[in-house]
Amino acid sequence: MIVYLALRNLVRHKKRSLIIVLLFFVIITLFFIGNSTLMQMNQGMRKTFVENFTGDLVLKSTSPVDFGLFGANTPFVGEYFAIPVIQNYDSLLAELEGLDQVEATVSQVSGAALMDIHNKRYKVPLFGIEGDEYFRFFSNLKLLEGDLFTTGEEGILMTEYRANQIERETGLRPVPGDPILLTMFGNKGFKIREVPLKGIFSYTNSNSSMDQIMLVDVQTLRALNSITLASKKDSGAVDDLFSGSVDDLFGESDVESGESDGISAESVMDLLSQDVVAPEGDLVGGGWNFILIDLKERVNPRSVLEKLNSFFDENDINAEVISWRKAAGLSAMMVYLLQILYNGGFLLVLIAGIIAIVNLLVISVFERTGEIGTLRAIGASKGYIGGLFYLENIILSLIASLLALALSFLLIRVINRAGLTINNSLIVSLLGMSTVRVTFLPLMAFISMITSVLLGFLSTLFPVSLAMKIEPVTAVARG
Amino acid sequence: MEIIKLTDIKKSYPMGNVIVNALNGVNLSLDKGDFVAVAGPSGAGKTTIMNMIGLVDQPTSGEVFIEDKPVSHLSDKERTVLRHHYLGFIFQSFNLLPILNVYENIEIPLLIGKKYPAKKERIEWIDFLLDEVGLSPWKKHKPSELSGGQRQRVAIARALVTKPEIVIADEPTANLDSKTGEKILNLMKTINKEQKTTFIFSTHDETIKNMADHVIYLHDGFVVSEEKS
Repeated sequence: MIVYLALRNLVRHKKRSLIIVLLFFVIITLFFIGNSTLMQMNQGMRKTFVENFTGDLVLKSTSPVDFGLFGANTPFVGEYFAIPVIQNYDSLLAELEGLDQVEATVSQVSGAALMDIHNKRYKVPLFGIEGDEYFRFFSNLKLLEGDLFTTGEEGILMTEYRANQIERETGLRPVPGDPILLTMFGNKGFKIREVPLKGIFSYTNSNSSMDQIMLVDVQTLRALNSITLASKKDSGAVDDLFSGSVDDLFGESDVESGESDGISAESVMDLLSQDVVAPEGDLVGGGWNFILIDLKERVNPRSVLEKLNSFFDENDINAEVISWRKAAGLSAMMVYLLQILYNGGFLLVLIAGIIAIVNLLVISVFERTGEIGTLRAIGASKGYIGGLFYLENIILSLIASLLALALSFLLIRVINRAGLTINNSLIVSLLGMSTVRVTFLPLMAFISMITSVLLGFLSTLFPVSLAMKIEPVTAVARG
Repeated sequence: MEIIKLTDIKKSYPMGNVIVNALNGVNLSLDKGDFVAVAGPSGAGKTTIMNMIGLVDQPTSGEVFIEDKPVSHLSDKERTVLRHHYLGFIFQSFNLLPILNVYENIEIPLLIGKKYPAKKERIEWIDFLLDEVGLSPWKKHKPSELSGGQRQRVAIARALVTKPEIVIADEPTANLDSKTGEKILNLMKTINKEQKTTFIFSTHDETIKNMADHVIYLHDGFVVSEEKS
């Protein structure tokens, strides 16, 4: 009877019911579409990052400084931060590759350098890799021009975006074979190295962070980073060119002019061509900063991460495994920022909507004082009255959520059929796709319905408290 | 047999800064199966006393006994249960639920409790009551489609549907013309005789109070006289 009574009341007060349905509809539509998009963005971003440069998980050395593939995640660490190399690299790699959950691994050294090309200087993140192995691991990477560097061969690869940028800014398109000068300042002073441009590549669904990445042969980056392989004494490592001040290096000169009182391009080339003594670098096994891990399908990365880290803790091994998001550092924070912004805006709409619904329900309670009083007089408990109001509002919120989901479903179908193409690279990388394909997420639909019922319940709390205060004597007085 | 007793009932209401004394120490004793009229001019305290007996209001002081049990200080839950099972109400303005038809309006008191009779039993009993009040042909109609007298007859059937011991009717004829009012009172009287249900109704109509077995005259919150036939 209470359901019947609730339904009859809703039909009788059509206008009010429609307004409440409309308000719930707006709230739930925003909630569903917004969160579905953000969830999809999160998945898209994960796909973009995991398949392009992070892998599912990343093994690195422990450090008091939070760092990822691009270096320290904290903007200011107070002093120069050198990414530590992985100790016991060989045994850790063997352990990882022996795991059933692991599909493949690839190792990497990271650094940041100043790149001089065509008399123009750029600050670039460098990933030191073994070319063939890295491109096998990240099969999404496309080599557009030139070749990969083979093991032991020096060379650097730049993104298509970077090549276009250089062409735009210098009027000269970089081509394979162009010399590139890399300058890096580390804890051993400055290191300079010239490498030939081996090729131009592109990422799938690239973003601004990825566009900056330069892939360099690992020996060059190790030399720039002052990492020396214990087993490869004097194998092409470069001595500190300058242990003096920064001014000594840059002085009035630069590579562009080649004429200065400080250092000239010729002197740098001379120095680079000399056999130099190995620096007092970290003498360690593999000389790698990271091992990127590709997990087999349907393996839960979180569970592997937790198991490995507890194993490292228990065995006092100086290594830790981090998620792709942490490995990508600040560049992966975009979706989180968008989520915060969106949810902030949604919260405002939610508050406004709830206030409007509560007001409508309060008016309804006052209008129905006689009815409430009569029901109380003929034996309805306060719980029955409360239940009636809760039920009415929950029915409305459920109707609204079903309508919202139906509309969203139709919208998604229309969008997918339209096959919209995205031109903005940020949105492409966030969504992990260049043609919009939105998925109706059943889990999010379920969450939306639960949220709707919860909102229906919450918005009725105050009006019900008022309704329950109405005494039966009021019915006698009001009729 | 005494079914209701009121001892020294006082009731005051704050009205702005003034305290209004609606009842000033009322003592009453009502017998089971009586057809009781509470009479008096406007402001005499008729509605207040009906509210006290009907457990919809509580006295400022004094005690209400129903079948020798004090009920004034029962909790809201206990009073609700007692109202549901023991009392029936007929209101001056009928107080029917506009969203329900005649049948449903009569049925609702049976369905708001925790336990209610089986559907077949309900249908038989409500049909019987509809026959009693002469509204069988109108059972599917909404209250808005009925006349005042018909509405009040629905209210009577609703008050009787839980088979209460006492039916309280606050000025049941106030919104009806005299002829219809008389018919309503006759119906109540018939049911009173047939079902042995105690009826307590308030009125300021001198003519209809003569139908009562027991008339209580109120004035300014005092019982000024009583007549028993």
